[in-house]
Order: sequence, then structure tokens, then C-alpha cells
Amino acid sequence: MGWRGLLSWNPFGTMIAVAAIVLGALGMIIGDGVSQGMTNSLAGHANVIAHLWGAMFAVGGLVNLYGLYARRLVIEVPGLYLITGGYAFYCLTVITGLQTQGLAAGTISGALTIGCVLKAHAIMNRARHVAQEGGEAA
Amino acid sequence: MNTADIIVSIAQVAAGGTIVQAMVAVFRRRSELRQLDRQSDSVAVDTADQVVTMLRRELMESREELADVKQDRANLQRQVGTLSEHVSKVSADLAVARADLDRFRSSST
Repeated sequence: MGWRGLLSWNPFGTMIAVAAIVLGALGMIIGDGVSQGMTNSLAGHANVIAHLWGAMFAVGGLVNLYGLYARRLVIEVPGLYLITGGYAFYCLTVITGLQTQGLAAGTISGALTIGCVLKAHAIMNRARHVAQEGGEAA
Repeated sequence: MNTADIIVSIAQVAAGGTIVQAMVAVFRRRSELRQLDRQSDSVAVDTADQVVTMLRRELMESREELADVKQDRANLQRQVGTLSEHVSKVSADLAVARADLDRFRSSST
């Protein structure tokens, strides 16, 4: 299967992870220069926090992407949670820092946050369900 | 402490909370997730099985079709043989008739 085939298998999950990797790597390297909203809202120690946020975001994206394509939920779910945190942090800081001007980025990242939370929640629920069924069957 | 500070601290708590969630998923829920992984593996295997069965059935069907087509071809070849026999017989008759006609014409003049 070519990369197009692989991508069409889970386009949104893949691109959310890729976006997290790109944005996280930029944040990790550049620091708070990557987001004016973060600079404004985290006045003083924005740079350090932006580096940390970038590292968390990029690691989450990588872990999630690997878990997605290795088909291992044990790896995918932690990555999904880290991505959730990254998007949530970005969403809140960009809206706080830029007020209405940050609404576009805030809406998108907020929606992705909710999506990631719902997906992780659904996976965990299914895992619990399967574990219970397995326990009853055993 | 104003609203912005509060929201920023909420953001930090959220980011930290998801790190904790990730760790919980890894350390506390690992066996459950593994079980789900295994189940999805078995689902994938089931699906592959179904695909193989389907392909095999299609293979059998196309083999039957091939046998039919071969039989049809043999029938047609037999027909072609009979028809060419007819044709050669008819052309021999025609040659005889022409020779007769020629002989008749030459005798009449």
C-alpha cells in the first residue's frame, strides 16, 4: 500500500498528529515566537513554557502517529492525551492572549481538543468494556 | 489575579492533567488496552478470513465459467468442421456441374 492508501485509512487522525508534530517542533525550537497569544498571556516566562509545550506536543504527535500505524492502542492513547493537552493549552492561551483576534485559532484548536478527548474517552470505554466481558467470559 | 491569569492557570492544569491521563493510560490501563488491541487483531484476522473465502468462491466460479467456455469452444469447432466439410462437398458439386455445363455447351454448338 502506498502512502496515499495509508493516509486514506485514517486521514483526520493522521493529520491531527502531523499538525501536532509540526507545531510542537516549531514551539520546541523557536519558543514563544511561534504564538503571539502565548507571548501575551504568559508574560514573563512564555519562552520556557512554549519550549515545554512544544516538546510535549511533538512527543504526543509522534507517539500517537506511531501507535496509529502500528495499530497499538497502548501507544496511541497516551499520545492522544498529550495532543489533547497541547491543543487545550494552545486554545486557552491564544484566546487569552489575543482576545477576539485569537478566536479563529482558538476555535480550531478547541474543536480538536474536544475531538481528541472524545476519541480517547471512546477508546478507554471500549477497553473497559472488553476487559469486563473478557473477565466474565474467563 | 485577573481573568487572564485564571484562564492561563486552567490551561496549565489542563496540559498537566492530560500528561497525568497519559501516564494513567500507560501504567494503570495497559492490560485493558492490550486486550482491546488483541481483539482488534482478531477482528482483522476474521476480516482477512472472510476476504479469503470470498476470493476462493470467486475463483471456483470463474473456473466453472472457464470450463463452460471451453465446452462452447469445442462445440463451435465441431460446427466449423462440419460446415467446412459441407462447403468442400458443395464446391466439388459445383465443379462437377460446371464441367457438365461446359460439356453440354460444347456439344450443342
